[in-house]
Amino acid sequence: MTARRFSWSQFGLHIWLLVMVFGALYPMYFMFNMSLKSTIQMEYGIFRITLPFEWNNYTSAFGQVWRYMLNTIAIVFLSGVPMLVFASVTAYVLARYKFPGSEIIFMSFLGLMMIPGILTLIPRFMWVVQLGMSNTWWAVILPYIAGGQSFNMFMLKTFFEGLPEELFEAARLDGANHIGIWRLIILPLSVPILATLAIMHTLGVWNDFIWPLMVLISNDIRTISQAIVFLNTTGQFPTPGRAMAGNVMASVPLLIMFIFGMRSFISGITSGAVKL
Amino acid sequence: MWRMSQAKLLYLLLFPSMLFVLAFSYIPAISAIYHSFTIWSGAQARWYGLGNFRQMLRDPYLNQSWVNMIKLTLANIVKMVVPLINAVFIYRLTNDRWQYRYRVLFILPAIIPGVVGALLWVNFLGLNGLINEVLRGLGLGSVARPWLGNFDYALYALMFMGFPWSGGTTILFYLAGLMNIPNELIDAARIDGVNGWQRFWHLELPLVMGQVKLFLVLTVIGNIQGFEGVLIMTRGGPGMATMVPGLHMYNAATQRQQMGYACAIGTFLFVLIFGLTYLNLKYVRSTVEFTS
Repeated sequence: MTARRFSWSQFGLHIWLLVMVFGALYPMYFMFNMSLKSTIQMEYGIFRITLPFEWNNYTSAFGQVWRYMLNTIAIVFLSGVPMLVFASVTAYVLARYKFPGSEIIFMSFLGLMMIPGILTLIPRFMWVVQLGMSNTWWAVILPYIAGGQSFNMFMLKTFFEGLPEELFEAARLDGANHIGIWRLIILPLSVPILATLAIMHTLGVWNDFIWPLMVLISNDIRTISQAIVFLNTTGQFPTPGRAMAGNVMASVPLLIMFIFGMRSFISGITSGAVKL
Repeated sequence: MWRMSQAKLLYLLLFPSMLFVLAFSYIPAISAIYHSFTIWSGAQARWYGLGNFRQMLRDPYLNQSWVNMIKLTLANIVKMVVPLINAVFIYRLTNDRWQYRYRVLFILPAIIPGVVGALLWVNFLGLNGLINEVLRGLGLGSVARPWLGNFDYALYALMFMGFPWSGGTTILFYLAGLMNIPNELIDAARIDGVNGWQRFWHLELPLVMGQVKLFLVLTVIGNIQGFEGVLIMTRGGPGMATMVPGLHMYNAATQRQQMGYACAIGTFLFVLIFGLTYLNLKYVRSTVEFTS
């Protein structure tokens, strides 16, 4: 690297940005610091790092949260896989074919962007109760599959429209049917975008609080966000340090996703931010 | 010319998506609008005309909720300035590697689940939490109080949450817009001796205006329908000091079984959001390129 000339204006930008980075990260520091304190160490204030670290907080909190983390991971897969399969099949059909009714069907998906979650929340809840799905995982899995259809379908459709027609022509000449085309062409080519959408879905399910709160009542079937709030607000964690350790642990799977799929993670949350 | 059998297969392929969307989006939406004109406690609904909407006008909790919602929305709009500044400053760095480092550092807090963030701030704003410890450290111990439990300050405490509102995803989104500025334009500006402020005002801001407008609309929509943070942090209290319309709707349905009334609030919020979404799709979103 070539040596750069020192510039006061660049220096000023760095100072501002470092202060802002500190401003973005200090909650994580305090969460982590508190998670390593015993109740007595907590008396010394939350700024200081106290030794020895109370790693017991983690073993104890893990015993309280692992079940909910597994529940949520299961729900992510059980809803995410069908959600992406259905959305990509629909996107493929609407992107590559014009047939009677295709415009209307497309518009009916587009219209979904006009329906906010707040409108459907209560009737969807009543509907799920009427269908007898309340207090089962069906009550979260099926609405999550439905909720992912429009946005993911649009993202995938835009992508499929950009693929060259020759690719599909060649496959058809080789005798591939729709399923074959989807499996041999669509699926392999859309791996990066599917990864982004899968991460968005995981974040959505992991962070969802209100819907599981309404439909998952039994303690042992709850999701992580719901359980974390419950454990914290009803005093189920024996000490404040263990509560913080539980909070840290709820973030760990997302941290792992961040580390191993940074590119997809970043594009996932950027697209998620503008999702209506 | 389409052979019907071929089209039939395509319909079949579309069927799963359509079934799900119909069952869990369209049917509930129609149900919400219909039931907003009824008294409904879960069993048979009874027609009530505009009764629910009339009740909304007289509901003191709801009226307080609108005021709180507007205050919180205004605060969130003001807070949008910080991520914009951060994005512009990252963009102005000449060192690519530092640009990348800052992007990663700012996005890192996104790994904290939303509910954990809210619970963390409940802790920070508590009697022996971070905020009061800082105040005591500054010799302002007399000001210290349980902020979220205080009738006069709870709403402002909610606004303070996330200080200094550095922003994560918002920064990346603004940056995507800034990166589209042609280099020639920046070079031309530099040759003309444009200073930093002029460069922001005449070059950078106009070129991210699309993104700014989009986030403005999304922030307003988010505030109209969002209530998760309030539910976790204060449950709308103390009293009704932090009540927001979405939470009031949720309470009407889950605590008082007033499903019809809840649907009426939901429908009204939908009308508000519909207007904004329409404006968004029509005038704002089309100007913003989808960059991921």
